[in-house]
Amino acid sequence: MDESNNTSRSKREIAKLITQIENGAELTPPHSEATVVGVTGAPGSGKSTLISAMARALVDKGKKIGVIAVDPSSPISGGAVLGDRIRLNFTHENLFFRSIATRGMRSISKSAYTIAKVLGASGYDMIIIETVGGGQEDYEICAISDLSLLVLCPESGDSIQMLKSGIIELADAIVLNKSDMEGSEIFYTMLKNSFPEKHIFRTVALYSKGVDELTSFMLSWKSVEDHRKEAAIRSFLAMMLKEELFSGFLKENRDVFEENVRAVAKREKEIYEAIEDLMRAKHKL
Amino acid sequence: MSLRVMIAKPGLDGHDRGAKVLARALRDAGMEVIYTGIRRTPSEIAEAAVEEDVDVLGLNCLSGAHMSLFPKVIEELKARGADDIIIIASGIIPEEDSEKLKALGIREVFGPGSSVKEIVDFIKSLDKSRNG
Ligand SMILES: Nc1nc2c(ncn2[C@@H]2O[C@H](COP(=O)(O)OP(=O)(O)O)[C@@H](O)[C@H]2O)c(=O)[nH]1
Ligand SMILES: [Mg+2]
Repeated sequence: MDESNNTSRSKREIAKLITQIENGAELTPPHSEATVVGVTGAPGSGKSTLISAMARALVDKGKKIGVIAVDPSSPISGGAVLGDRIRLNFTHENLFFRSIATRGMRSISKSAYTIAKVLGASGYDMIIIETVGGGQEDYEICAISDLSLLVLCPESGDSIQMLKSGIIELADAIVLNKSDMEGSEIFYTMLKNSFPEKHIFRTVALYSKGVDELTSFMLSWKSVEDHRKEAAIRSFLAMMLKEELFSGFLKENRDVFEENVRAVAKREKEIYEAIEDLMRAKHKL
Repeated sequence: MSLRVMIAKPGLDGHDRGAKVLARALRDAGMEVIYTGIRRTPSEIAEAAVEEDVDVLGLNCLSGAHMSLFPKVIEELKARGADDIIIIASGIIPEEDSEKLKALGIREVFGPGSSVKEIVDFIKSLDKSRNG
């Protein structure tokens, strides 16, 4: 497949290329200098609303912006409702917004990285990836982004959980969204005190408040090598490797796998017995 | 390969319970469904359909403005070279409008009284013919 840089691709052509990547086409991610920004945080914290406001501000500053919004696939039907576009209140020739489903992955889809590179090679200056936002372990995104933002809001009870460890350690900056809500002042002070070395921004995404400051920061960001990145990369590589090994396993053993799923569901087998049987199937390969 | 479907609501009508119910039913049938939200212009809908590379575009309109809005969506898709996207329509659409819309290229029209299941089954049948 043609993987060369091509800034004259039409949106239609880019969109078709993304579909092929999603459907498993072999494509070496093209080289791209575009900044990749990962946005994570609990569902409902305002990621999509914030991305819409950021995209508007960046497009108004003359930038070409790509957005990849990831939502979970249903483990039952394999389908998905991709609803992040609901928060996007404009379209623009310099904005490319694509919704994708996790298709079996945990937080970001396998193809998100390649799609980001393709958008970069097609002339987009900055690529923003919205993750599913599973929780504190949702940090693979930090491995494939130059800048990672963690979105918190005063109302989310689990943000207290996030403060302990995991994503909050790895994110390059924190955005305290919904600053119009009660308790945001106290929450902000607490964040400042707990993470004095972190960039912390306050926004009201709904009204684009604080978004100019945030986008200026994004545009001037130079990612630095540091030890935090290693942890994210380890986690991302492990995830990708598991995925590769598992799909190799499934290719040969789909029937055995499904039999075991059914047997455990029907309580004919204990779950650990199923694991043992599957491991035996694996060694027979 | 999942079929990609976009559900869009052109115009000023702000009732989207039906659209959301349909989106979930399509998900349960294994499709990836993009919902655009309410009050989108025909050009926004066409732009979104291109970016999302959907196989099927479902237009829903309850305000009665379908005869002016739906043809505009078709035009906007043509202008983007995306007139191969299959369009279906639902809403409060009288029989005579239905025929006119089909003549303009809308594949199927689901008027009042159509069930969600009918729409899901129809889109599923499109998927079968797509995969040969
Ligand atoms: N009060 C307030 N509500 C917001 C703000 N930003 C987003 N919301 C609302 O929070 C809800 C979830 O937003 P969404 O962007 O979908 O969150 P996501 O799940 O993280 O992508 C929506 O109802 C938004 O309107 C904000 O700054 N202030
Ligand atoms: Mg979202």
